[in-house]
Amino acid sequence: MQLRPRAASCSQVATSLLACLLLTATEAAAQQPDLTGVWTTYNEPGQAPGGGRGGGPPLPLTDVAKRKIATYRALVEPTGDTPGGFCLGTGMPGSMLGSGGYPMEIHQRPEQIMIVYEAHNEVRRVYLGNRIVPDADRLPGRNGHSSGRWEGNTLVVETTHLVEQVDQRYAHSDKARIVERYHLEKGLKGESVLVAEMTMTDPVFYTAPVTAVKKWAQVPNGHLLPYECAEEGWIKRLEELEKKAAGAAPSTRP
Amino acid sequence: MKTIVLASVLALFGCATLAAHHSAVQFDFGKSAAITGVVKKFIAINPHMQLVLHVKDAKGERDIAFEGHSTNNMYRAGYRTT
Repeated sequence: MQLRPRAASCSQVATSLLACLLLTATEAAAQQPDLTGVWTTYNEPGQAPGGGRGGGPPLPLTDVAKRKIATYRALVEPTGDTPGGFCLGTGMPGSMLGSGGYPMEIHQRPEQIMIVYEAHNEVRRVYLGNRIVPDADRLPGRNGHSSGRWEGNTLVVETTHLVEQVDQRYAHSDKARIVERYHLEKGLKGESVLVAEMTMTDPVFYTAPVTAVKKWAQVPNGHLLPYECAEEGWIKRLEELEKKAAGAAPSTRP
Repeated sequence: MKTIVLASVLALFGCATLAAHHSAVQFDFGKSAAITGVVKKFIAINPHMQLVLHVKDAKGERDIAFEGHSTNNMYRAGYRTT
């Protein structure tokens, strides 16, 4: 007879624990801010438009990096060629630090956060929890491979599997590792401001970690514009084909 | 009418002598110039809008190629196709 109350008590305890766990999980999820929406460069009061792009102290580049960057710049500076001019996205960390001044859109789900940068339609997928892709299955690229986690109200994103890039402000090797920390603040007008703090470590290109901060202002009910970029090449190709077809056409002269 | 339209468009365009794939470093955004001509080609594309103007002036008759910001930047600045 005495066992029954004990068994009932254990069951009640287990139920209570489960309820507590569920409540804790729900509370944790509720704590996480929703970053979904369109964001554009936030200018601090008195700051020139552009969000403070460029400039800053000299980067702690290694000699290897200096040589590679100098070689690249000597190649493109006479013409001013840029990756963007050839419809190539900025890549990390240039994308998260402003993407050429264009807005970005975030779609947030518990297991995956999509970041779409308007310029060149660059897309980053930040996987969380069980969606995180094993190292062996990651394909390197200009935006690398990103996995995220929440530390309270802060979203922490780690990006690896980058390819070497000397064609952006924060050049890096394929050994670069970038950590972004995102949190929300309020601007002076009460608007939501997304603060993105970046730390990049790269033993091949830098002698010390490189840091930068980008602030984004939420655009209520905002929309990204389409950004088709390869039209110029296609138009020129059609013009070439038209000229070729005109040249090949049989003469109508007597 | 064309001259009026061009005056407003040229403020957002730079004269392009080479291919369109370049940075904005070569442009002097603090300097403006009015050029009158006949629009030969105008395409609203990314990464740069393009304009070819047929000009007749004291230097002779020629085409001048201009290019501007991206279509997206122009759109946000108020540009609309009509």
